[in-house]
Amino acid sequence: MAVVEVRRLTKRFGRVTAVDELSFDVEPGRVTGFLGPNGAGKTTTLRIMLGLVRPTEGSALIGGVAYRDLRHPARVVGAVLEASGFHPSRSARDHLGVVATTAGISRKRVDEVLAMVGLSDVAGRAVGGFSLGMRQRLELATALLGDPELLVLDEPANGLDPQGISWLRGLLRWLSSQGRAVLVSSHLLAEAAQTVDDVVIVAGGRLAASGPLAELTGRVVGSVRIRTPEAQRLQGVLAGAGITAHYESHDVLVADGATPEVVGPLVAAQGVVVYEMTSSGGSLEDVFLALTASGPGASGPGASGPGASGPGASAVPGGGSEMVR
Amino acid sequence: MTRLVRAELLKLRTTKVTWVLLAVGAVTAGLLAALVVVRSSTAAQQAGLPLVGSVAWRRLVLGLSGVTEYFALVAGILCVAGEYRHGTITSTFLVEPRRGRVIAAKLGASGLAGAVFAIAAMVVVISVAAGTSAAERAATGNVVPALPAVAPGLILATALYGVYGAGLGALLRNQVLAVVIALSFSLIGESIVTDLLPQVGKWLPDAAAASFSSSSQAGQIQGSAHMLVWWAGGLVLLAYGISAALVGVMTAVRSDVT
Ligand SMILES: Nc1ncnc2c1ncn2[C@@H]1O[C@H](COP(=O)(O)OP(=O)(O)O)[C@@H](O)[C@H]1O
Ligand SMILES: [Mg+2]
Repeated sequence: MAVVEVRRLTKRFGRVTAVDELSFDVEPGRVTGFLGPNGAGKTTTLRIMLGLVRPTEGSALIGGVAYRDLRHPARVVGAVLEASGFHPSRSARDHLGVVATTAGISRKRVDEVLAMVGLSDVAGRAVGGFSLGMRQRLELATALLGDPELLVLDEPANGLDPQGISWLRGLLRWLSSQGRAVLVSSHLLAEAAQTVDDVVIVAGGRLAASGPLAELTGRVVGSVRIRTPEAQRLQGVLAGAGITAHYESHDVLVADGATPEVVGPLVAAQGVVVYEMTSSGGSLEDVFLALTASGPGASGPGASGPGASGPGASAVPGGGSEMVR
Repeated sequence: MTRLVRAELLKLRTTKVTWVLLAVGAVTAGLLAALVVVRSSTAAQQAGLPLVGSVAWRRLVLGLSGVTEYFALVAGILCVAGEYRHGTITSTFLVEPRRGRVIAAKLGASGLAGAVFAIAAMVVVISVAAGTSAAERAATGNVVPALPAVAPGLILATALYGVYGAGLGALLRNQVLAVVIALSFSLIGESIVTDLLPQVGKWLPDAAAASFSSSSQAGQIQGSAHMLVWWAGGLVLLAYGISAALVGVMTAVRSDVT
């Protein structure tokens, strides 16, 4: 059963529609990536889910009830949000003590979570002097206080150094392996792809796609780019194998829908000279670009991420049941 | 609910500014007391002060502790608006999404804090009065006998100022704005209104507090007829706090925390 059920969720701030009829589920025991460019409506959706923002229409239920109706919210949901803060003169331990007292959680748990995020040594220091990374760890500790079955994290990698990010990745995997549901938002698709099992992709407040990561990336067929002095001959060779290739420049061919595993043996067999061969496609970014480029309503601002390019950006096979527009 | 009040008290205790306000309020009261004691012993009659060592004099001196009401007011404002200022309101509302209960707990905790502010100020005033008059001349500076007459009203008034502050904080949510409005009204605006329209002035927070706290003793000695009876004054002050908080809760509960 889904831990989170978002149904036709809509939020308008005045004339801005931040979230537009968004629906998706979050399953236990999996890390779900909530992905999309800046301004896609991720933060708004998460804040609605957590009872901080009122939806204009639709609902976001946790275990079948609205957040506001949870009896012990801290024991059900742990959240790390972007704009939440700390009182600068309060120590890390006191901050957690305050939250624990509010939630009716024993103070013993405070030291446990401090150890879990590696802040035991600085627990007595005022948070005002903490680095961004230390604050993120403290946020995580706060989220873990109630030993919740669902974790909601909004861009948790922001402010973390590479070690911090890999530590976070491990923590999220470990939490989900215990059967918890983890919902983590990010605007960095490539970064998120390394951590998540499922993805929910939004653009312009609308659902672009959702489903298991492997299934989505599998849907996008890649291409192979070959630099060769024998472009014309290679084009003929590829055509003989049923692969269409077009010129990118006079000595570069792009074979759509091909993989290096197919092209490599062909050039070897025919003795075609190849200077360079690279494959692209099949990444989460390609999925995202393909999805947002294909629908008129779905193109969000900043949809062109790094590594975009790709003329005629990859094919999106039809028939994906979860595809929207 | 006690859980929430305890959490609010813990927040106050673990925030430096609470202790600064408590200390500055008590020290201000102590300085005022020292000033009055010194002045009393030198130029009592000219200053229009009651006779040194008289019942009225003791009440006047101890009643100077009431200056800490303004510090309790600020502490109450910060208890609510400070959470918006620092963004901690997000984690507070995450753990207790019933926002009305959070604000109610803050009113209660700010009231308790106000009571502590009053007690601290009185302790300082009692010590300063004793110390100063001992330096001046012996034995007259003991204001402890005035405690039964002064302390209950003063503690209640300061507590209600704390509640009133928390209510204002919930209403305005911007701590600088709330502090500036509350203090400028309490310290300046109210006396202007009272001068122009005494009938209206007696319903204002400061005058309401004065009707049952220490400064009242001085006020009544000066024969002011424009004063509510003490219990009405208490209710009026409480009503200010609660109604500000109610409007605050209604807006806070509805508004998005982004
Ligand atoms: N409080 C607000 N008032 C007005 N507009 C807002 C508010 N919060 C978000 N928005 C707008 O809603 C859209 C989605 O924002 P957000 O949910 O923060 O996106 P994301 O987290 O995916 O970057 C943006 O266009 C943003 O400007
Ligand atoms: Mg965001």
